[in-house]
Amino acid sequence: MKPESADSPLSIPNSSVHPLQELQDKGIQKLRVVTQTQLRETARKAVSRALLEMLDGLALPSEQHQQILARANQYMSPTIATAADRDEATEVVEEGREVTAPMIKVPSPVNPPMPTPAAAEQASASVSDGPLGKREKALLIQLSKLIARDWRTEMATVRDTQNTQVERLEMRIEELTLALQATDHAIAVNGDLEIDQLEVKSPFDHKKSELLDQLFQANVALREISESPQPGDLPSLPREGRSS
Amino acid sequence: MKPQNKAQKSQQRDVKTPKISSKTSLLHVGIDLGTSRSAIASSNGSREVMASLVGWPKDSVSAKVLGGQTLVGDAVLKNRLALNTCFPLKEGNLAFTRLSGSEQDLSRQAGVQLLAALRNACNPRPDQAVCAVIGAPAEATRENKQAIVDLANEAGIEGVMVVSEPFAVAYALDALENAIVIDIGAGTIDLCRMAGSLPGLEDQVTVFRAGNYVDQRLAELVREAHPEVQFTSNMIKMAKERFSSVIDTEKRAVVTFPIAGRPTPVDITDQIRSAVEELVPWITEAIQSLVASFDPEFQHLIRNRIIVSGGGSQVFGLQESLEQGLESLGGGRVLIVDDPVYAGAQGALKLAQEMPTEYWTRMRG
Repeated sequence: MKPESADSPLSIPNSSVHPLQELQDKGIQKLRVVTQTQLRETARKAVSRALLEMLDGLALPSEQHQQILARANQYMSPTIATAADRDEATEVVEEGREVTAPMIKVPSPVNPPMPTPAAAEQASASVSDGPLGKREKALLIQLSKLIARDWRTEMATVRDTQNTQVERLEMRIEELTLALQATDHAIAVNGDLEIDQLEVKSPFDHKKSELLDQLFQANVALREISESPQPGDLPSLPREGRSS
Repeated sequence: MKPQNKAQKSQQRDVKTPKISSKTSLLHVGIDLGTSRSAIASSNGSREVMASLVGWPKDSVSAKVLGGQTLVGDAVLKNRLALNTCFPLKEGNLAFTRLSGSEQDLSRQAGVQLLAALRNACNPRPDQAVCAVIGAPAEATRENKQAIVDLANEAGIEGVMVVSEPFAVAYALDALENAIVIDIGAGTIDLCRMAGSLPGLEDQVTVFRAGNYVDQRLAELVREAHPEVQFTSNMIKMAKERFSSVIDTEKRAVVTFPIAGRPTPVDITDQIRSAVEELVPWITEAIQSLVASFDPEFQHLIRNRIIVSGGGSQVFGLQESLEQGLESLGGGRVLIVDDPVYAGAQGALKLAQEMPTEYWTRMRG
């Protein structure tokens, strides 16, 4: 890929000229040839369509509103490309070799997909004769940016994503609520049964209180003996380890 | 060095029993007071195990390095070159009961420090009275049990009950009937026959050959086989805990011991196996004595429910070796507890928690 030459009749900044062989090497077999006039018309129609869409939301005096509307409708009417227009696409691409429409305009991928300045200039020039030239120009630039960002599609995508998440969360909350209700019900119904089962699983529980009492009595006896004045003359205890 | 300096005296004051009247709630704890390691579990969920070892700085230099404080637990092992160390327990009992003079005072003070460290490991709130059930060897003497109570009181434990260590394990497992519990520790192997009541004299046996005996025998065997090897008792203990095995395995116990100052790999597989195997006949003999003196109608029940706990229960192959030893008694089934380090402390904690509150009130009063 090489930068577009400055003397090109269709000089567009940030665009590049590709030799046909390079494109063929990349697997591109067919190319559509679009004349400069067709490009201009397409750009005008796109801008006019966007202008019509935006016009309802703008608080403009009715006279200016009508003027913009008329101008936009004018550009929306179909035009016929002339032979001269087609000839404009003919350009010498390589040294001494003249081909018909070998030049492909490829916008630079690092830049946002904005309308080509050539088209914008054409559109701007076409409306600059009217009384709202500057305002129109500003509006057109703004519209161009909006179109480039495809804000409507983006907003719709975000809205759909959020709606999907909200719906999924609502469904999850509903599932958990049902599960909680089922658990509460099971606990309420089986609570007494489970307590009975636990009691059955511990067959020695009835002996534990007796064991604890025996252990306590043994420790009380140990304490009382140690507090006696003559620890050397101790009687043996029934539940005590043997003395060395 | 005796605990005579200012810092140590200050620490002694710190572990004095607080006023009972200021306590509004109870913190139940269970303590497994072991010869080598002691464990504590409390009703607030905290658990701790530490070496049963206390150390004091050797001189003013080490006192300055260590902050002039008494060290307890594993910190003593790390700093033992700068400390005078003391094991407060010997063969499962508090060692000071068999000593006299200054040694007795030192050993007694070490026991208080150990119990205080265990108590503090549970982080009791200022308004909590600590009530502990402490596990003692199965055949602990009356004097030793009373010494445990006294030292625990001095360490800030308000309510104390002493219980046979294997009984605490049995209580934790609900194995209160038709079972034999074996607690293999460092100083003793305690066996306790559970027959649905508090075990008495006839239900308990203590074997005074346990982990420390294995360490001693292992050191002797290694010295015989490799006289040029340099090692300490702690190095032997670590090697045993890493490679202890009583059955044939393909894994070799190769440790790095210095020879003339140069680290050298030494194969001590045979020595470890021989040292550990020496314990098995002692245990099976004790089991036999408990089975033989039991009601003949129920002997097969306790033979088939032999529960092994304690650090020594982790010896690889012990279960199979004991079951082989029981063949002469008609066979038996040996079970190893899942949490041998804390089984005793957890059982003691369970006892403390299930003990009626009025009992604890009386013990504290």
